[in-house]
Parts: sequence; C-alpha cells; structure tokens
Amino acid sequence: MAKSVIKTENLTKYYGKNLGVESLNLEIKEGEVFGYLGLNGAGKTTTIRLFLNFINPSSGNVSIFGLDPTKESHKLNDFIGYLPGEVHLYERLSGRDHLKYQASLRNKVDWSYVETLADRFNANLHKPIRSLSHGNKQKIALIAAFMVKPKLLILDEPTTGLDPLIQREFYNLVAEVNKEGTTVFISSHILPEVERICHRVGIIRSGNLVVTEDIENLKKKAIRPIEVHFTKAPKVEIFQKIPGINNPVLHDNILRANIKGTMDPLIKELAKYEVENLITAEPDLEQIFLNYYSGVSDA
Amino acid sequence: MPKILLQTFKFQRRSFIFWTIGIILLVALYISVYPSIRDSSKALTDYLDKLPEAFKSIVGEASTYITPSGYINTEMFSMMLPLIILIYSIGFGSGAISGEEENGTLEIALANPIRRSRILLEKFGALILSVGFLCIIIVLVILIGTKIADMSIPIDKVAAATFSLFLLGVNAGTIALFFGALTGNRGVSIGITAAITVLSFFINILAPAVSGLDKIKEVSLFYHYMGHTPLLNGIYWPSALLFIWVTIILVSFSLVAFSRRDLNV
Repeated sequence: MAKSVIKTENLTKYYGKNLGVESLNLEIKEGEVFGYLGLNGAGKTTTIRLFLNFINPSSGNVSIFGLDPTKESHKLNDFIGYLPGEVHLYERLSGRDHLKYQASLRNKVDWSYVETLADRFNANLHKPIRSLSHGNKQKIALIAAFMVKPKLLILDEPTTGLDPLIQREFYNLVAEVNKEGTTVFISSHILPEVERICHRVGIIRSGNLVVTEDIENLKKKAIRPIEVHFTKAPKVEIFQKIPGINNPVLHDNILRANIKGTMDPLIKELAKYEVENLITAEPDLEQIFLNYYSGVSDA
Repeated sequence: MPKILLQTFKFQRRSFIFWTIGIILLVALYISVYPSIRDSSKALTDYLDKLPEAFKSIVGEASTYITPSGYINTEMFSMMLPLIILIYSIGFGSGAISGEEENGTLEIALANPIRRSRILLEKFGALILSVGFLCIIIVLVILIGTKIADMSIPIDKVAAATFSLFLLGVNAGTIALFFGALTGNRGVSIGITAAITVLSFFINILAPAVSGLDKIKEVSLFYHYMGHTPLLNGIYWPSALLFIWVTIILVSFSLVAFSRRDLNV
C-alpha cells in the first residue's frame, strides 16, 4: 500500500459566511497523478491554498507528508513545487532573474535543469516578464514549479494560456516526473486534460467533494453516445426496454441514444436486425462531469 | 543570506534615482534662495517677529532663521524633507506586505520553505536600508550644497537631524508595514499611516499656541522628530529611543498579525 502524501480530514473553509470547501476528505497516495475537477468557484483553489497555508482551515485538518501546513509549511514547502492558478510575477525582472530569485529561496536548484525546462517549454528567459504574453508568463511559472524537483507538484489550472504543443510537452513532463516518483495534484476544468494525464480524479462542486474515482472506473460509468444505422429499423419501443439506454430516438432508420455502462444488452438486441453501421465515441468525462453537476447521475 | 531583503532593496534602484534627483533639486532650490534671505535679514526679522505663535513655531526665532543652520532647519527639515521621507517610507511600508499581497507576488516567496516571520523581518530590514540610503543621500547633498554656497553648517548636527529624520521615516514606514501586515489592504495601510503623520504634524506645530495640544504633543511623531531641533541641538536621545522602542513593538505586533492570518486572494 502506497503511503499517503496528502490527507485531509473534514477540511472546511468558510470565508465569513461564504463556503469555500466543506468537510473535504481526500487522500492522495504517493506516486499518483490526481486530477481535481470542478467548475470555477467550486473550491479548487481554496483547497490548494489550504495545502500551502496561504489560508487557514475553519475546521478539520490537512496533513502533507505527515506535516501540518498550518504549523510547518516552512519545512513542508521544501517538498512542494507550486503553480498558482493566477500567475503573478515581478514584471520588471527577466525570466532568468525571476527564476534565480525563486531558486535562491530553495535549498538547491540545478540550473542546468532550469535551462532544460526552458528549452522544452520554449520559454524566453531574457525578456522582462512584463513584455511576455500570458502564455509565456505561464511557462516561467511552470519552470519555477518543476525546477525544484519536488516530491509533490501542486498545479492549479496549469495549461491556461499554453499553446497545444507546449501543453503536450507539459503532459509529457508530468508523466516523466511522475515516473521518477513525484506525486502530482492538478486542478483543472479541462476534462480531456485530466483524462489524459491523471490516474484518479476528484470532482468538487460548490465546495463539496462529489466523488473520487479511478479514471478507468469513471469511464465505465460513462455515458456513451451511440448511433445505429439500420437497413430497416424496428420500433423504438424495443430499445426502450434495454438496460442502460437513455433517450432512444429513431429517425430515418437511424437510432440515436446514450448508453451507460456495458453495451452488451444492446448489441445482443441489435444482432436480430440488419445493421449497416454502428458509431460510438470514447466515453467522455465531460458527460460524467456534467451529470455530476446537474445532479442527475446516480453513479 | 537575506534574499528577500536584497531583492526588495534591488527593486528600489530605479526609484532611488528619481528620489535622489528630487532631493538634489530641492536642496539646490533652497540653498540658492539663501543669500537673498541673509541679505534682507533686517526686514525679514521685523516681519517674522510679527507672525502669530503657531507660525513662529514652524519658522523658529527670527534671529535663528537667518543663520545657515536655522534656515535649513526651517525650510528643509520642518516640512519638505520629512514630506519626502514620509511619502517614501509609507509607500514602502505599505507595499512591503499588503502591496505585494494585492499584486499576488507575496506568494512567490511564501510557496517556499520560508516562515512568514522571515519575510516580514527581511522586508523591515529592506525598509531600514532604503530609508537609510535616502537619508545618506540627503546628508551628502546638504553638505555638498552648503559647501558650494559657502554656508557654514556643522556636519555632526546635519547628521543628527538626518538621523532623526531617518527614525521618523522608519517609524512611519513600520506603522504602514504593521497595518499592511494586519489587513493586507494597501489603501488602509497608507490611509491610516498618512492620517497619523498629518495629525502628528499639526499637533506639533500648533502645540505651542494651543494649550490643550501642548499636553498631548508627546504622542506626535513630529514632536519627537523635531521638537528639540536636532539640527541646532544634536540628537535628543529620549525621543530617538522612543522611536526605536515603538518601532520594535510595531514590528513584533506585525509578526503576530501576519503569521496566522489568511492571505487575501
């Protein structure tokens, strides 16, 4: 059993009367890439700020590597690489000077690794930061998070503003450092991103953790859109009885429906008819996500 | 190594250039006017003697005013130099925590294995260094200026007056630092500190004329800054030590206020 890296117990944060997060019970194991999904304002950033002790919990507690951030973040942060959700840098400095400054606040940073990261992200370290685009500032902040070779990476909406090539480089890098043992906590509202790089996800909605699930299991519960082209379609009522099927609609010999879980009963039924084409898509986390949000899912 | 202190101080480099130019222009202006003041001393003395008490407390005795030290004391150390130092130090003190917090850059340091108290202390160190730097500029510019204008003025007294100015600046800057550390709101920090210093200024100049104020002049920063006229009399240690004590107490309060509270988003 892998050690737990982050563990929260009934972690709750109110801002005055406004709820940040409520009774959060979360456990992230060593070596995991954990996706923390939620819409803007759901409580993702609040959770992360609690991890870094920028804010104090109203009740409950957090333990990261066995340390309590409210008491020992000055030790704990040595293990953490952090990318804020909104990147604010010293605009007057060049990327290089900025990273040098940040490196100076750590015990040791291997500068050749910084250069490597800058190459991979195609980051400009020479220009003053104020002259950089949003995406290029994001690259500097990403380098700062990775350069410390952290045991735990906490990334808040990491790919905001990055172009697709750099995003891919970022995904590769996450996979590489994860392979070397880094635990990764990524908040995101971009589902394909989480699907692509995470082992497990937690979905947070209005400050409450709705579910945590392995990506694979979540996909099993996923609702797939399906389209069946018949030579001559039977009556739609036949399909309404099939378990897992949702809103079957028949039009011009084409059946469109959503199906949850296994397709087997549907396939068995379809075998009785002449089917010209069968189209289905990868289960989409977006669907699951939207279902959690609209509250219709019973998963 | 105090990296945050050094970085904060480094950020001041460009603004130092402008403040230095400002100080040079100001001192040059006053010194260039001095010969005409000295030459019309008779008329001026008569005029000054007729001023109401409150004004006299700003200008000082007429016979003193026309001496180089008296002139520089009245024209520069009563108002313009403290104004410059206060604008700078209050701006610095409020920016140190709350300004960076509002800009979102405070987290750059805080995401590292660093205690909040260390950040605050290094920022305080940078305040001392920066105000001290400007005060050294002031001493140099005054000494060079008076030398050029052939005004005789004792170096030790200029140093004493500027040291008093330094203490005033650090004190006001620390008040701003404290309110910034407490609230995380730069506007609040500047507002409260500016109010305190303006009030201090008026209490001090009106105290000789208004008996009620005379009793409370001890609470005025300006009274402790110049109530004993360090440019003429040297450092008045009870006031200097009070500044130092109040500063230490404010820094301690700031540490307590800042170490536990939530950062603003």
